[in-house]
Amino acid sequence: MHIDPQIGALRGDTAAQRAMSEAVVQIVAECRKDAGLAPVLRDLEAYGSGARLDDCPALTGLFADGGAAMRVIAPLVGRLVEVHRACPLAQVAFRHQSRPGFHFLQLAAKGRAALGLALHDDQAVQDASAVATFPDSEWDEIVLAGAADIALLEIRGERRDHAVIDSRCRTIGAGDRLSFAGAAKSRMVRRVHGRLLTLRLTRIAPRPRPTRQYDLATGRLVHRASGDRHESRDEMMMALLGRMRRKDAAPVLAALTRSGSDHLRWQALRECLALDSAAGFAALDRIATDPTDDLAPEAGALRARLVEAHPQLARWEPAPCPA
Amino acid sequence: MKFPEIELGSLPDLDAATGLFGSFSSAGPDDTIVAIMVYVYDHMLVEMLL
Repeated sequence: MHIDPQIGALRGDTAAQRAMSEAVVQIVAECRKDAGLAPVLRDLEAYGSGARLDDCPALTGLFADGGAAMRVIAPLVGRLVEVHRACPLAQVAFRHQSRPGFHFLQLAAKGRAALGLALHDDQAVQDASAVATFPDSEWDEIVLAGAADIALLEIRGERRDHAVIDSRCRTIGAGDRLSFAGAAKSRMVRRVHGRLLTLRLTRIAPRPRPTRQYDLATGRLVHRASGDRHESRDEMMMALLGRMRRKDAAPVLAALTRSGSDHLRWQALRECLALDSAAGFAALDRIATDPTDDLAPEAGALRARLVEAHPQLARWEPAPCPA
Repeated sequence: MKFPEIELGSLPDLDAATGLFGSFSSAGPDDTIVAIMVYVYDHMLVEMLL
């Protein structure tokens, strides 16, 4: 493995590591107190907790025109650049992603809301733009620099694995604002004229539907992802408990089959059955025999399959109610 | 009664399979990196944001 000499030297120099870390913490603390940014962060917290955007004047002010956003964001970016010039190996641990044609830096996240900078350039692979993503969120975006041709998308009709998507094209440039909300609307960058830098505010729905990705040419569903990061975290925790064979977790898994999305409940049921088939089969039977439960058909089919594979389960009876 | 051992892999997923938060079709069938990111970011990095 190749290790850059600068990084190699840093590995043994704990004083330099600490100095860099402290420089970053200091810069982030200064940014939080910045006169332009502090009210925005307070508003972001309120917005992330459920306040109306109209009741968050510092936040709405950011999206009033490109100049207002630049006045708040430019000093922040200046500080981050400054710390990197002084300490090129310092890590500013903001969430980020980078792929050919698209780069994103999340600046702040409070509750359900997040604020970040998105940069599109003309390096994107053309094929990649054939898939449109529909997250269940409110979306406000203002162009800080550059221009692009975009498509405003709206799902007019949706079946299980197919959607009819309406697409309207327009060109956006510095100062233009995009706002839309809900799981049926989205936007896609079709062609970038050099670059497109935007400030993006998003707020995930309180009980978000899954994010869907559709092939624009055919309307075919190509992917679904949970819209709720907490639910995905719970799913990973369940999987971990299952791989660790933590049989003592079976009651918790059985309880998780009672609430949440169908997907999470079903995963909890699978993990519970695999960890402790007695607890899992009780949960399965409860779901299968509740006609009001959306998962009753799938649970009934699975119960029949398990009884066929393991005939002794046919003798199982629910425990009498303690009351 | 004696309950059987049931293999997780033998239990079907729902027809409408749902990937983890943040996963995309272009990421391919393996969401491992997304899984790690969701966990690490949620537990460690939020405090570092503004």
